[in-house]
Amino acid sequence: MAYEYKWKILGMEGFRALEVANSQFEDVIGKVVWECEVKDTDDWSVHWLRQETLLQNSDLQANSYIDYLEIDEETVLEWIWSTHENGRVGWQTKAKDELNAIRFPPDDVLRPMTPAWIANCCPSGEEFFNDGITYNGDE
Amino acid sequence: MATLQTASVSGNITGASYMIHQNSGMTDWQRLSHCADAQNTTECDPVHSCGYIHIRTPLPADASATNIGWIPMLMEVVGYHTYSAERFHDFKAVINTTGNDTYYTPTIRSNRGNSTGASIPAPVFYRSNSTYGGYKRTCLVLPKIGCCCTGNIWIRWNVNYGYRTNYAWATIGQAGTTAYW
Repeated sequence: MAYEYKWKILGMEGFRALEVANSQFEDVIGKVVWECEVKDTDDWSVHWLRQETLLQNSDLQANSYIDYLEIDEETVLEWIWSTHENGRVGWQTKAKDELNAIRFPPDDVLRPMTPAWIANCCPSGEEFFNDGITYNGDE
Repeated sequence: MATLQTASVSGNITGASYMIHQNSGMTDWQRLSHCADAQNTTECDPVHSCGYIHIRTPLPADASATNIGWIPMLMEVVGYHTYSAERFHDFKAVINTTGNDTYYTPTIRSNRGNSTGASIPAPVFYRSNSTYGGYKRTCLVLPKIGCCCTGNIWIRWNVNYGYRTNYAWATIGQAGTTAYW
């Protein structure tokens, strides 16, 4: 199987002003909502790992602070990647594992089932009323 | 019974089952990107230039006793493609109306998108020829613009909502509406 990964920032939240170690900062990103799309290019199955990450601003320093209007997507993604011990590849592996867990689930996991009395009713052409079962009174 | 007021999670939450939606009876919206390339330049050259996106949903198109049975369900599709929404989708279809495995009939009862104009074909449903996870799946085709421009599609349905994660979704660009999956 061959996999293709696509990263995207879906949304951000931030602080208009933030004081860290007696320094004032403006427009500081505090939360990022992101997705990592994984696609199996053999059968085109696709899955999205979507999460939000709270950024740690306690070590914000004036000499490394990037003005909000100068931040690019890859910089933000690198912050996200750094929150996984294996970086970008670690997140991608997680997305891929989730995709395969959906496609090849173990048998002992709960799965949807349709009530058999409905499933069996119809190819024969017999009318079926899906009204449930009614009881009148308190008995 | 205690009621959870707040929760802060720094790791993962793992469940042994799928989430049950007791209030709405609808699945969550599934968001898909319109940016789906063809498999190769034989189909569309360049690969992003296809006029259709084929979507394979996880919903089985299989009314067998161990599957979804004959329960018609409402599928709702909204979406747009390109910055000016040259393709716009807003329709509701009732699917699984025949309840057998010979043909998985969908009926589009409401369509407010721009996909029904004289030169823009209407959405198409079909049942996959191949099986995925053991079952043939419900597929649909939407017209798109031949670019990888901005655009999203949202899909949800009622009844059988557990099937939203029954298998992986899939998208691919194609030149026409002939069944791909």
